[in-house]
Amino acid sequence: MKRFKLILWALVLLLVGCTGKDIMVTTPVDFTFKIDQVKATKVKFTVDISNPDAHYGYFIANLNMVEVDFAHMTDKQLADYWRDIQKEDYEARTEQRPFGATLADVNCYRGNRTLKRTYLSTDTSYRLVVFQVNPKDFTILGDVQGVSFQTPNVEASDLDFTLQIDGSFLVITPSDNDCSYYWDYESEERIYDDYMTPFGYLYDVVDMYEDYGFIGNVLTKGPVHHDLAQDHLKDGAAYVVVADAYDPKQGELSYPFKMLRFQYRNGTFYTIGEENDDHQD
Amino acid sequence: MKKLKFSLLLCLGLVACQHPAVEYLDFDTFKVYSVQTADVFMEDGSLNPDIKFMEDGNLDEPETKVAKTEAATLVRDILGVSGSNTLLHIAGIYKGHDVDKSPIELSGKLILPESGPIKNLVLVSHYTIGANYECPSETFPLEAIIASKGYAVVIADYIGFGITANRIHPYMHTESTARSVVDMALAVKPYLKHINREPESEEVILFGYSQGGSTTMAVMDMLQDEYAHEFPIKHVYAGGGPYDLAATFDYSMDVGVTGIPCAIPMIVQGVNVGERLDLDMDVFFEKNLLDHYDEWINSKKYTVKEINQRIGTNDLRDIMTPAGRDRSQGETAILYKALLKNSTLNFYPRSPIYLFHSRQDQTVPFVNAVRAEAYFKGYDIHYDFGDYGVHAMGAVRFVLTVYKELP
Repeated sequence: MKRFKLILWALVLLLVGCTGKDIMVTTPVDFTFKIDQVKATKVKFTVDISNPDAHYGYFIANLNMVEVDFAHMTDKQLADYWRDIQKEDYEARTEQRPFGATLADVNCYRGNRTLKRTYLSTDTSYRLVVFQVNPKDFTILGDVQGVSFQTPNVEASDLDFTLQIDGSFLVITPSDNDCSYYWDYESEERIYDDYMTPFGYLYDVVDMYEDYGFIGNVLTKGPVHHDLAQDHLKDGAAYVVVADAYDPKQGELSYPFKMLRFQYRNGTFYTIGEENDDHQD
Repeated sequence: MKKLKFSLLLCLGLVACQHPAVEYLDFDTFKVYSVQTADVFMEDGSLNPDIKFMEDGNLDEPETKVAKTEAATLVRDILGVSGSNTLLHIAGIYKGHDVDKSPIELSGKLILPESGPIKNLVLVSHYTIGANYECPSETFPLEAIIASKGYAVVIADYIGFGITANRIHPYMHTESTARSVVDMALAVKPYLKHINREPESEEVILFGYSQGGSTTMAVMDMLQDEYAHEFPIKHVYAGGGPYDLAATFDYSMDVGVTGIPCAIPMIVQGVNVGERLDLDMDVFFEKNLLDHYDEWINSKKYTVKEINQRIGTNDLRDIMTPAGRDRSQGETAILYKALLKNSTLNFYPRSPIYLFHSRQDQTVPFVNAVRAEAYFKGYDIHYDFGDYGVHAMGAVRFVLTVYKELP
């Protein structure tokens, strides 16, 4: 009987809960935002909003861009530009396949958030605008707030690497044993599926470690001898090794980075190719 | 027993030796060892009391506002949306993969409406359990009620439960837990064809809450990468998941308490086993936990709540050593890196997702939903974040929301 009561209790709560729909805030609410950190290719900022159910968006305009003259737009015009682009994109995507998510789901945030934008251009002027959005019609609600910032340049590193497969060992030999660098490898298929390019993979993984304040634990100095035989690799799959100098002071990867492709086949590791890749924009 | 009608009981697998007369059924790779039927609702309109709800494992169970609504009316509401009331429960074993990817025999349950067409396969990743008697192949999991709307629900026990209950469960090790779910789906598909209950659509639906929410995302990643042709994904429903284990670790260390004390030893030894890290548990656990975790966790005798009660505290200082709480040092740094690796925020979804989380959730902190939102922004994801109460209450709401949303 006790169990039955528990179940009924759960059902009561559940059904009361299930009758609710997403709360739509359609009137302006108070919000503030501040930039926490600007690095050569990244910016981090925090939005504080008084109503956790209110939707808001942001746009970061490259003021050096030639194709669109963002430099002479007002903050409201930048917000409207963002809204039009998102609507257009959403309509194009939903034409191909119906979306379960609304425009606001796909593009807006709710609640206090620390947000980050990566893959910015170095040594470039930007304008960040934050604004509330009406989730019903995707119009901008209330005042648009904005701030300008400038990304610094990245200094190139002299660190170079030799990447080799020696039997089952991956051998990385840096040109300078005192410089910090990051190395990793991943299946080529996964890299192109989820990260687009080997540099995208390297950038995103390093960015993740930075995010968690853990980058210091994964950087290497000096040569590496890593036994690939312990890693249970997939037979027939190709893998990409990436290595790049990382300057903890700048908090950015250097360029160019080095990569090596290899394949694992019937218990043997075959080198496919080693190359430099200058990823700098 | 009126509540549970046994139409067929093929005692195989674990109890096969006691019933030598019973023939072992082998449908491709899915071996059936028991078939039962069970109703979702009883004759008096009440929910089958055998349905397993998620426990509220909180030691400090908060007061919850119970709405003053007539229970009978509510039950009738549910009954109104139910399709086939009687479900076929088929527990079976299948060929899966161990943490090192070597072959292993695993178990799980397939639940079907007793009759009628099957719309889709629904791959359910189950939430955190402690006792083996709670595992899907032994129970009537709440998620299984979805079968009553015309779906074939597949729920794997994972390594460490069911017929592998003698093994340490690789808790929160995404690759092996997701692989257990996918392997079961691969085994069940030809079996359904064999019994002429093949789904009308090849598309699968993924569904899971809590541990299952995170595993569901890992299953999505695996299906997209490796089985896009065999299992195109129709929709994903994930709720209350620890998608970001490292952020969960950081959050817990910041606040100094955990809403689910048993998850600490489960995660440390689970990820250790899954990643084959060979970590020393002495580094992580305070004496009381160190002395007893093997019995409390690995005997699979106790539920989550019972383990939490035995641990007896939410305070991380009483559960973990100072070294175990310091991610910058030695073995904890190794574990932390493995937690980062076992995050499920490392792929991009190609099918729609419904992502649910209660802002009040202290068992799986809301930071997980925030991280997921930040990572997946721009994709076809409907975010349902709200004030939905504690973790277990969120589970019920989530399951029933999905139940109502599915056609």
